[in-house]
Amino acid sequence: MAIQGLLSQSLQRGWRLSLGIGLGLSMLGWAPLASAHPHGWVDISVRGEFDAQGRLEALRQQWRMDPFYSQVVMEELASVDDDSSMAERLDALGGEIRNNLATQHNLTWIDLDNRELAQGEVVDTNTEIDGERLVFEFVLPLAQPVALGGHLLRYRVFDPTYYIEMVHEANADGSQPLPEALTLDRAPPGCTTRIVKAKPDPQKVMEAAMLDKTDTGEPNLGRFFAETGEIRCPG
Amino acid sequence: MPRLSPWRSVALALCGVLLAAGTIYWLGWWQQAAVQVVLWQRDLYHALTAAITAIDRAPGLATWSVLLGVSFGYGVFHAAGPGHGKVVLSTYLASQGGAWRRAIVLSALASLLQGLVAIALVAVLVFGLGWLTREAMASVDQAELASFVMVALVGLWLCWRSLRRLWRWHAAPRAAAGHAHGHDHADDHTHEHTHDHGAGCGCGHDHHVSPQRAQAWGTAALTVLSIGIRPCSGAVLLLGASALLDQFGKGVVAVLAMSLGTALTVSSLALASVLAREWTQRRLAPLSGRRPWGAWVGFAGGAVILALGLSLTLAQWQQGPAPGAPFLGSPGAAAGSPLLPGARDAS
Repeated sequence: MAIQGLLSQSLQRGWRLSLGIGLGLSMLGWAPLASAHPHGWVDISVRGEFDAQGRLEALRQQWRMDPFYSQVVMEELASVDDDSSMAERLDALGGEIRNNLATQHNLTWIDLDNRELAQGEVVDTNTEIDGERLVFEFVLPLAQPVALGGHLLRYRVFDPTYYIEMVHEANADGSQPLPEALTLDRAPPGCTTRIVKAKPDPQKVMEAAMLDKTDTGEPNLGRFFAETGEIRCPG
Repeated sequence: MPRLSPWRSVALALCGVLLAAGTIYWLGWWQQAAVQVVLWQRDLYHALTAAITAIDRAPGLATWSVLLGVSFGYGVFHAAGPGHGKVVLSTYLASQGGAWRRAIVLSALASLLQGLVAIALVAVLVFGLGWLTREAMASVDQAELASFVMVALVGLWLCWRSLRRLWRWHAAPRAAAGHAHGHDHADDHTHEHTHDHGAGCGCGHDHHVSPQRAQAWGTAALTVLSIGIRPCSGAVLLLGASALLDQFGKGVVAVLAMSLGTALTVSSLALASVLAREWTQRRLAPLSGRRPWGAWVGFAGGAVILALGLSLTLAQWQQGPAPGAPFLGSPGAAAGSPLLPGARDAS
């Protein structure tokens, strides 16, 4: 009895200290997630392009940069001090973006039944201004066209550092991706598409945040918040 | 009922904390909350850009309240995801003393300063010197480095101060220590009396500024400056973009509302660390006459801040520029590109 009373009494007294120390510790533990929140976003839409034999040969992607980031990039375009036209400057920007992407896996990861597919070089880039948004379009060919019959193809587009959030075009409140955000061109009959929202596993996010922080400096959390596009064809 | 010895109750509380923290982590609540904060922050950022554009189309009470509310919320969660500022401030308050009012004032000042620095950065660099917004965003890196160096300096200064106190205690043990914590801490307004102004303390009479007090406020000011000098690059982006959209005023209002939100979170944390310190001090009050615990705790706190400042400075040094959008090179760094000219003279 006496011991219990003592315990509860001191625990009661201790709760405030607990709160303080707990908060302090937690702030330290939370640190890796600090720099992890996105500072801008890109609305993406993807079209799976099939060849004459009904094999998937490329993913055509359209990236609409968020209005604020678009403004900042357009400011840079406008500040160029030469007599090039806006169209030329946009083309040059597209080339630069393509080169930057080439060093980063084009921010796209594709697999067929969980086996990663190699990518070709990005072609057909086009950059334009659509209202307040900067829009970048490109075709990402697969290294080899693949027949999808009876298989599941999945792709994910994300910035590993999660500085920029990449999401499929969604409805007004952003809660559901639009079906139009993933379409197919010349697909064999019966192929279906689906966009799966990210369900980040808190445990894994935290583990990665801790691990990456000590290893490489920046937590690579983008993958946990990435949506998955799926293309399925009957076999 | 027999009272627990001061040491035992403090140790018990510590065990309680570790147990509670362990349970919360083990149950996964902690991780869930952390991820949820990231998701909320993302949604709020979307809402923020929408709110600034919406005011342009339909200025009115409704759109303005949305902007203010969203910015405030963004600030709250932005601060809930951590950053060294909170660690520095809570360690400083927990180890160096200061009443709850000081905790709130310092937190609010640090948060507000962060917002003002972002505004000044855009006003001076972009409007004044004609930099591009993206270049101004990159300059946040330098501000960050300055902030880390200052954190290390604060830590160094706190260590030095505590060492001097220890030295004095050893020179004249009984006289100095016996006086500092002599008052009875059982009454209700103990929090008013718990700052550590050592010998010569006239409690409640702070009309004149004694050298120790001035020194304490100097350290406090340096702490605030070390935290506040580093603006969030998100705030700089927001201000730059709203300026480009001819909405700079709205951007400023949004950033100030954000700072208020940040102040709320940071001051709650600061308050918690002050309460924890006061509780421990009261527990250990009977022992404080015998040993200069306050100075030791102050030294430990200073050492933690120093270590944090040094490691952050070093990491920043090695790591180089912070990540930007992966598809765009760093501003001005794209030498040889026909489009984005090389480094400007200014940067």
